[in-house]
Amino acid sequence: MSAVQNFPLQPAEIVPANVTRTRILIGITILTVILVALGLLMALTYAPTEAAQGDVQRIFYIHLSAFAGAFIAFSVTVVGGIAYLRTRKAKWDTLALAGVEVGMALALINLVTGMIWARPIWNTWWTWDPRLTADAIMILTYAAYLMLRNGVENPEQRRRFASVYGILAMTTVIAVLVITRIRPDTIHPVVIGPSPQNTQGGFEMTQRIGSTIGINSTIWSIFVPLTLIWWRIRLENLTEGVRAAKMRLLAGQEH
Amino acid sequence: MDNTTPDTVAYLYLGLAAVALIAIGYIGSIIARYRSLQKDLEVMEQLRDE
Repeated sequence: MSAVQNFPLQPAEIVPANVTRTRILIGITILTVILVALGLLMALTYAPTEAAQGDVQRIFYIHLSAFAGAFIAFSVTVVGGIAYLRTRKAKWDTLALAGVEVGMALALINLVTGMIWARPIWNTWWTWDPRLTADAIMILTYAAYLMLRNGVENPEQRRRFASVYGILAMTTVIAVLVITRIRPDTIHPVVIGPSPQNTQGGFEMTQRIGSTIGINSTIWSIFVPLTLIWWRIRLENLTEGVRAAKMRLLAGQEH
Repeated sequence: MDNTTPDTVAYLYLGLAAVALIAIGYIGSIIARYRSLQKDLEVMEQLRDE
């Protein structure tokens, strides 16, 4: 239930549904926190220490999982964008916006953990490797989404623009995924499938490493985006509600 | 050839700290925006009642 329904006060019968949804969301949030902690514990204790890299390799479990979560969040933006363009219902634009913001946070985690891992393994924080460059372009593209959509005054135009932009921006995510296949000069390791010749910092996939990657990726690509997107949608609904209530209040004062 | 495992635990801690910082920063921003909107609503309700 949005704040616009709250203001002026609404009949009491719609309140229980809101309370139920809030309880579900709080339950999912607690579950997500527990699962992330368990995944982290697994990465720190269950997964073996990689012989050539040492403990820093454990950061990889979050690095990869955060990208998986970002991928899902940005995919949600595509779904929201397509649904908005078909139906013109604002709720789909809200979903798309939430996907971008959550995807950005997760992509940032992916980027920063990658840089920290690279320092001892590649002896540099950053290099203009094809995969890293594609990742930087992806983040900048979505950062531009957030900045540009705020620059469009008309709500309908803003939503239409954001929907098209959000759909097209997905190409940068796909580029990050496929760049290691089409640019053999990358030094970024590939987890699934054969690594390019120049790869530096790859590791052997043992059963424990594989299960830690699998479990962490599942948690970060399902529970983390779901929880954050849901909270972000509620925030956006409240924002829209407050905006509408302000307009109503101002209109009331004018009369 | 040196076969000893390098001590890179400091980078692991740095990575975990960075993850915590980004996660807390983002969740904190959601909470801060939510509280700010709630305050706006309260002010508007007061104005409406006056």
